[in-house]
Amino acid sequence: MSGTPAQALIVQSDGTLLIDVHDPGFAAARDAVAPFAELEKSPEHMHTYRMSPLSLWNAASAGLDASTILARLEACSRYPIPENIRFFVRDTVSRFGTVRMTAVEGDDEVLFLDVPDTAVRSELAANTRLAKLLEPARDGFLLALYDRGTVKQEMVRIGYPVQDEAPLVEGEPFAFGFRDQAQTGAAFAVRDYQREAADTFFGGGSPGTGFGTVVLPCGAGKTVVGMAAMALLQTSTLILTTNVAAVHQWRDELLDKTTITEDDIGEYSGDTKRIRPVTVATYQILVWRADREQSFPHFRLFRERRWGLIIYDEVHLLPAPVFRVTAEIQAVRRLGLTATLVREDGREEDVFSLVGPKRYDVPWKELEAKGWIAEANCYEIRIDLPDELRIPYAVADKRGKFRIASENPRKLEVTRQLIENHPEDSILVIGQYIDQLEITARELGAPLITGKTPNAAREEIYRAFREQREQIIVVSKVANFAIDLPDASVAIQLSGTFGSRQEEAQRLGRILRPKKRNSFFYSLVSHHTTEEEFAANRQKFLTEQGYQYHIEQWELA
Amino acid sequence: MGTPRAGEIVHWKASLLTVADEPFFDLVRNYLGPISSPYHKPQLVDQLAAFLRREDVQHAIVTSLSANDRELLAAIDLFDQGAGVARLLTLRALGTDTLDLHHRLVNLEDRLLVYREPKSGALFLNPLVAPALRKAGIGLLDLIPFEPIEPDASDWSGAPAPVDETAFFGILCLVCESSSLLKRDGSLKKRTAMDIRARMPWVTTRNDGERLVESMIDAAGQLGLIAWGADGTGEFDREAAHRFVEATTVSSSSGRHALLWTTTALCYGGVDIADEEPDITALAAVVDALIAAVPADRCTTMEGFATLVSLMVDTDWAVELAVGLLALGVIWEPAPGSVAVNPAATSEPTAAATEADVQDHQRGAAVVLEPTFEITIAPHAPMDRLMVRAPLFTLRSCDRVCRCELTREGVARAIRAGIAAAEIAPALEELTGRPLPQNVAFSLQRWTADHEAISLTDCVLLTVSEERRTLLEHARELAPFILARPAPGVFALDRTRESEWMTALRRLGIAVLPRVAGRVTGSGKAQAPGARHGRNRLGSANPGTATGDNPWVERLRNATTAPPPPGAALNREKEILAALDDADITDAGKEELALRIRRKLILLPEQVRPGAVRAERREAKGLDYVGKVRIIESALRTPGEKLEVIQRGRDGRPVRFLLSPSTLDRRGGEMVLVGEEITNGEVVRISVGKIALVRALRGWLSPRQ
Repeated sequence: MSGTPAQALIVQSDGTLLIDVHDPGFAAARDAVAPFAELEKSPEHMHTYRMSPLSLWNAASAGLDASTILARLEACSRYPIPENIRFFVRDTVSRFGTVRMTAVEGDDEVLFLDVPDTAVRSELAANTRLAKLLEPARDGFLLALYDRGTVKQEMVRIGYPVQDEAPLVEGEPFAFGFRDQAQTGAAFAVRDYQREAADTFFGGGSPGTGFGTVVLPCGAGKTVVGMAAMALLQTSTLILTTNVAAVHQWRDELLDKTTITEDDIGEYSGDTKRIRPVTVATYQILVWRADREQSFPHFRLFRERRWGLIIYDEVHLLPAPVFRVTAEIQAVRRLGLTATLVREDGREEDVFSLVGPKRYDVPWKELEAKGWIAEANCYEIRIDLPDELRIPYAVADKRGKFRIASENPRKLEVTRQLIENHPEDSILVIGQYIDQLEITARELGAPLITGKTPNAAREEIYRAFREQREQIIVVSKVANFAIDLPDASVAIQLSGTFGSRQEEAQRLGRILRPKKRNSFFYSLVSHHTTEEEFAANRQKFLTEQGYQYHIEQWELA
Repeated sequence: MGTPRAGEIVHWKASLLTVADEPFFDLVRNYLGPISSPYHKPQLVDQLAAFLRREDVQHAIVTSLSANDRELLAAIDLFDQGAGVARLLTLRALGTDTLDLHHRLVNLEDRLLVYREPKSGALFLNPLVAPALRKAGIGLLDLIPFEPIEPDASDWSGAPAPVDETAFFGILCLVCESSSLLKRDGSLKKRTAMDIRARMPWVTTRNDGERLVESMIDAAGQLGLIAWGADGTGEFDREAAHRFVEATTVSSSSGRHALLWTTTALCYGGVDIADEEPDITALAAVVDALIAAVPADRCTTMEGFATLVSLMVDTDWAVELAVGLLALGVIWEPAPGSVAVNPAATSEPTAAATEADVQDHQRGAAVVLEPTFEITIAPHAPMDRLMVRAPLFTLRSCDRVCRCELTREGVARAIRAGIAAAEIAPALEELTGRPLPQNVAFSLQRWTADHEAISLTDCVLLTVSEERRTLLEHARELAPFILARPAPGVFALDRTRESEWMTALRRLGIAVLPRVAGRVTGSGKAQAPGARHGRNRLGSANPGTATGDNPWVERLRNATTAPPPPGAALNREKEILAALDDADITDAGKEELALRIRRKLILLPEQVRPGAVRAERREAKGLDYVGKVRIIESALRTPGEKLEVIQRGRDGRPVRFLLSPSTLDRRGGEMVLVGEEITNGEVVRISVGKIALVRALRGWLSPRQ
């Protein structure tokens, strides 16, 4: 039996699917379950996927029925499938399609919710939240076009996923292509997995496709996936991203790798508000308003143009108010891009239901093995607190303890030593506390970037770093998001927020871009302090992604 | 069991030599033909033995067996010390008709299939034919009807997964994590129940999952794995766990399963194990045998299953055991009202193991430790080695596979439970079959070091005033009892040697000692929640219930051999009857031989010959007054012979008596039969003239001495 693909999978009663990486049937089992289960973690030996109602409905919307799902589980499963799982799959999948959303002929502002089942119809009519949005009609309900997302969201919440068959609107046409050679002179081609991700999202333009989320690690080229989706649709596109630096990165990438000209790219931020066929905006400007009583004036951007595609960069950071407006633009194709679907507010489900389901993901280590992202070595270095800080630490409150541990002055000495160990590398020193970063930057003689650093100064430092005039940059948490530092190969994390896994993903991403040498990710942690507990979260996240994690005790001279 | 033992044959021959001459020679004539004087009984017995050893004779015996024969032979074979009639009558499977049973037993004796031990009156299988009978499948399942499962119900996917030792391991982990799981009445605390449902999804798939968990916790206590404290909290007893797994590692994994299942089933069935003290080891052997040997495609009733258990072991708790086993999924209901052994419970090494598991085991993947500190434990993992380290594992979920996590708290629990810190990492490497991930090894080393950085000492703290401090600090008498000197004038004294250091202090001139402040008096250990008493039910007995050591398994497996087809017996009877037709024998002789053929006393055509029978009248009826008297007189002369008497009642309906005749008295012109009714012991007097039918019933060949 050795070598058969039938036994790599273990189906647990709670919907967890475990796949034995060392089983010869690993790849087959992974490919079998990926369409209807979410990858939760991919450590060294057992990868964990999870079947949820949403993942099953997403699979159903892609045409998978319950018997196919169960047959796939049966084919790969090492043990008998729990009876409750059979029921769960059949029952959940059977709910998909009981409610359909279709266009109303002759009325573009209204949609029809087709509910043939009388009992379900009664249940929907009795739901107070839905009652405000639905108007009873024969065999169903009518709803306003702009309530399309809200109704779908609510229906998912009560267990009746909507099969959305209402057509998506076509945006203004906008033709462009990819360059064979980037403007920087480097050869350029969309990688296989990037093309596959874009194709899966596009779905050939068939019903039920054209909206969804692509999950790829930082450095894997999510921007290129977005551009590939744009190239498939050839339509005007609104790109939403986290900050101005990221806006500029998108703009630079578009100019570098596509035939789109500077004139066709608009920036919509606090500084500039220029709307063009391809417009890149920040979430901050969208959710800006004069006071809490006012509406969000910049939401009009969504209606300023007949967008054919909206790209949500770093979709896990999508601010809550943007959910609302996203609910209103369900007729527009939507692509979410992220490295992690972990949301600290736990609203992953809203991302799935409003932006769209996960359409594509690949374990990080798989991309690393193929050389698409750099091989990263993760080290946690434990450093004792100096004697003079032990009593202040002991008497401090919880937050105070964390700060003292984070700002352990011995970390500077270790940082210096680590830098000496990497004379050929480009190094980021990342921290949470400005005081600590200022001291570090001063001691190392390196430039410092914080949130207060003007964009122009920031870009100049980046340029110097790219051109290797600077070996080291000291950065605050602004480094967490969408800064492109292509040649960084070492990150030294002096301190962080309270073990945020999202932050870890982003910080690790800073060094994952493929390069000739391996990358190193160092976290400096004060020994015997609360920082160790928070470091455990980081350790968990990185090992769940399949990284080996080394811990060392630093012996100071 | 395959060949007759010499001692048993001697036993059989001796019993045959006690048979009275007349029935003895009748018996010999039947099997060996006419005999002539001088009679040498031991020689004739040897000839009978040689006859019975013949292959064709044994084949004829086996093919002649009816279902009734098989049932009764199986019942007799059940009792190692011989079967008394009274004991046989306790077997409900055999019915309650004493007369019928007597007829059947006497017939088996005439057929030389059983013999009666003269002193005790106990019945045994004839050792010369017993191996052939057992080989022919005579066994326990002849007593309990196990029907084939209906084809539409034989889809075993409907059978629940039996609660296996992985689940028990999960329970142990839970108890180690949170020692206070139960309320005082022994039921799960509400929050605990919710937690268990989340971590053990199998609990939610059963109607009585929580009760089952309670029973498992109870069973863990009964097996000594959990020691209950005075405050009702349970603590993992590592020593007991070691004893438990050592006692069971010599046997198969299923032996451990059988013990866990049996104990839990009894707890589930409401048996107060502490008070009733059922023999768990014996019951576990029975359970082990049943799951190993009863075919999974046969079913019986719950009552039948319980009867089978009570046939195998002397217990009052067969029904409770059956109910508990059903709840555990060891047996299941393929259809309403019927139960069968769950095929998943019969698999080795454990319930859901597959070939892939074995491969996993070979490449050391039965226990997988990730750099994330998560541990995946496959069903075939070495549970003996895991159970004794249960405190180390923090349970995340117990399902098709068990998922645990290695945590700082778990390491602390393990060390507290007596697992040496230095043992933890090597044990994990041994379990996983690979070196520990570096981050895990580092953390383990840190956690154990942290744990060892603080020590707690159980002591009495002696504080002395400044003026006497010097006296005590330098006193040689006190030095042996000082465990530590935490501060000047403060001494940690050995609590266990209190009387000694008190004496020493008195000698040093401290005559008046105050009471030890804050001391709590009272017993250390008390009763567990509810009626649960934690103690090791295994004692020193080895519960090794390995299939290979379990005699029940062979008996049950014998029972699964298909009996010869009924057509074979029919053909043989036709052959003998044809020989009878052709034989030159008187009509009376033919009538007697035909009767013997029906009673299966004639096994081969060669037994049909003149002189083989002695014509004997056995019944008389109606107006045949003389005939009735002769039969009664004959019965009075023959020790052990009984009489079946039918008399018409006043309403004309027949009334039947089974009598042991005492006398035949004359009362006026009428003869009166006096006898003791066998069924109730009452003395009965019946006028011969009023007897509608009297039939002599042959007594035992070997009368009781």
